Amino acid sequence: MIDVEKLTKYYGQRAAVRDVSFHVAKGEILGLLGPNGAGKTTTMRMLTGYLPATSGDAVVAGYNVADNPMEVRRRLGYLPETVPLYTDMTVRAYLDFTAKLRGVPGKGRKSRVEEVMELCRISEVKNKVIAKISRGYRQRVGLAQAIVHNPQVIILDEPTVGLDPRQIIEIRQVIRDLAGGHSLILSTHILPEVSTLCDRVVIINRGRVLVDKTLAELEQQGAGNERLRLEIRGPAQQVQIFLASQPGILQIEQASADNAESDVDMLAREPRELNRFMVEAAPGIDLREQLAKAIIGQGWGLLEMRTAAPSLEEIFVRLINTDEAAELEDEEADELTDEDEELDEPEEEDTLNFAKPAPSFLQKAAGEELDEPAPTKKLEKKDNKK
Amino acid sequence: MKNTYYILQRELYAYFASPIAYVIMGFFLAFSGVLFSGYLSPTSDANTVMRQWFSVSGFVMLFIGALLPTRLIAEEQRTGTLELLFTSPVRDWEVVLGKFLATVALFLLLVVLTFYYLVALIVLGGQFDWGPILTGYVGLILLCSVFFAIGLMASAFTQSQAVAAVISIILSLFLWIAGPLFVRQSEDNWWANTLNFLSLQPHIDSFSKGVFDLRDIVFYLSIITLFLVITTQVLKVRRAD
Repeated sequence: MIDVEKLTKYYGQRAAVRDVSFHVAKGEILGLLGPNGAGKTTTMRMLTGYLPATSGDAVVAGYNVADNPMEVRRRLGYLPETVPLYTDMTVRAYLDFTAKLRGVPGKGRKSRVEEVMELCRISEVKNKVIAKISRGYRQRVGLAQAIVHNPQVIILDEPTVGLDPRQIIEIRQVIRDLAGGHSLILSTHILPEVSTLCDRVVIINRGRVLVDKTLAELEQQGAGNERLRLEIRGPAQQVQIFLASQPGILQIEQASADNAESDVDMLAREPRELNRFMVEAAPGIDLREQLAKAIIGQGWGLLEMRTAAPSLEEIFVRLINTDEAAELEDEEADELTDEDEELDEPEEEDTLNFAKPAPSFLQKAAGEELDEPAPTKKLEKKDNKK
Repeated sequence: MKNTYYILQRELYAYFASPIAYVIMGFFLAFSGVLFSGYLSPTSDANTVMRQWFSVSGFVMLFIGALLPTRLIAEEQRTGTLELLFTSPVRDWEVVLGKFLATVALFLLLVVLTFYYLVALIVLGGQFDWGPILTGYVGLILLCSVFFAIGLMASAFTQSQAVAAVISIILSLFLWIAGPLFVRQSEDNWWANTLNFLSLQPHIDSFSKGVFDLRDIVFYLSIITLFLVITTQVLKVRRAD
């Protein structure tokens, strides 16, 4: 339904999108993932024909975007990042206007608009002026205009950005209802959204495709060794030595020593250390029971033990970080081989752009799992080894 | 062409959904009404009054007319709705033409509202020679359409309506009087002739005299087309980067 072949877009000297290729089958939901500024919006805009591509081909619903833009647009629904609403119109008038523009025939137009308002759950505000409705409603009106002509291909640029959790759930429900008959591309930087909605994931960074995999494949790729997270009260060094002596354990990593001892402990003047460890075992081995017994047998307190499957966030951050490291190497190589080109590389901008979003969306999306710095620390180590 | 009509419909809706249409129409009617009553005198005949009124109305519209179309594209660039239009199966020129025609349609309504001057003159016992009245109105509509096309082009350059309005007024003013301003009456060389020919004002004279000169009509329509084509191209270029 959507075939993208080596799509490239240059803004002046800077490549916003480089040789992006992917394919979306009929009825499939593709998640387009990447940090801010990775080139998601640019890619989508090229698919809609809004931006001309510098080179490469995009075929949407059987028509080449560059050669037959009108045919493509007739079969395509698009929700841009900033929802394009005429705030002076009522919801119904706005949807009627967009339906007309998309060539919905006059006969069934009224009922189609009603139907779409029902589907997007905006019927209760249909006679209100758009300026007066809440953000959640606006977003859904934007979604409604994208599907009013029942397009074969739907492209949504960050459809849930800026919504509250309840609204996000509602909009996801609508999107899920849409899947099936339509092919859908959805860009986001909220990872749980991908796992709840998408069949396949394309991760873009610095304008290039890093990964193009199904969700299952991606999770498998990140799986690797079994990992356990432990919180043990006991002398750090001894615990570590003890753990290392246990059979089946491949690697031990001590997370930040928790110095925030409670007041009670301070009063008791008893140095009771609280330590966190990340333990890795070979795949397929469940160490939990045996390990718990052993630790307690030593007279230490076992406060927490849980398996730590790498979350999508971790996989994502790892991928991006690896790519970032590769970029640095590239640049060094560039410097050696070609001094002129180095001038064109907007490297400062790049590092600024990409260094920041990763942690911010970690915090946002993953919450408690990520307030421990251990996993990332370890990931970095691993990367360096590679 | 259907799309052009849909765009036109929406823009008219928008004009009347905001106070802008009412304010500008009200202002124009009040201002031109005062001028009209100023031209009334026991000695002048009806046609002279209207001729004077036509020429001054065009000038008034140069200023307040700039406020109508400059919102159309600048605002949509600011709010992002242009992305909606340009990802719908609508051609760029259909969007531009629709917006232009909406403004012209609004102005036609305004023109109809000024017919009460004619009624007033008849009631006061004036005798009309209808030819010059008709051509006078056609000339006024063509002239203002040029201002609207210029306004629309200015609107495509920027996201700010205020900036667009200023650009539009300066450009219109220049086109309006470039010839008479820079060229002395007696001068007769190529650049003087060109400048004179390109000025809007000399072309309006024949209309107010009651003459349908095809050259003048073609001149106005060409200028309008030129600015609309530029508008379309500007939008294309601005989108690409």
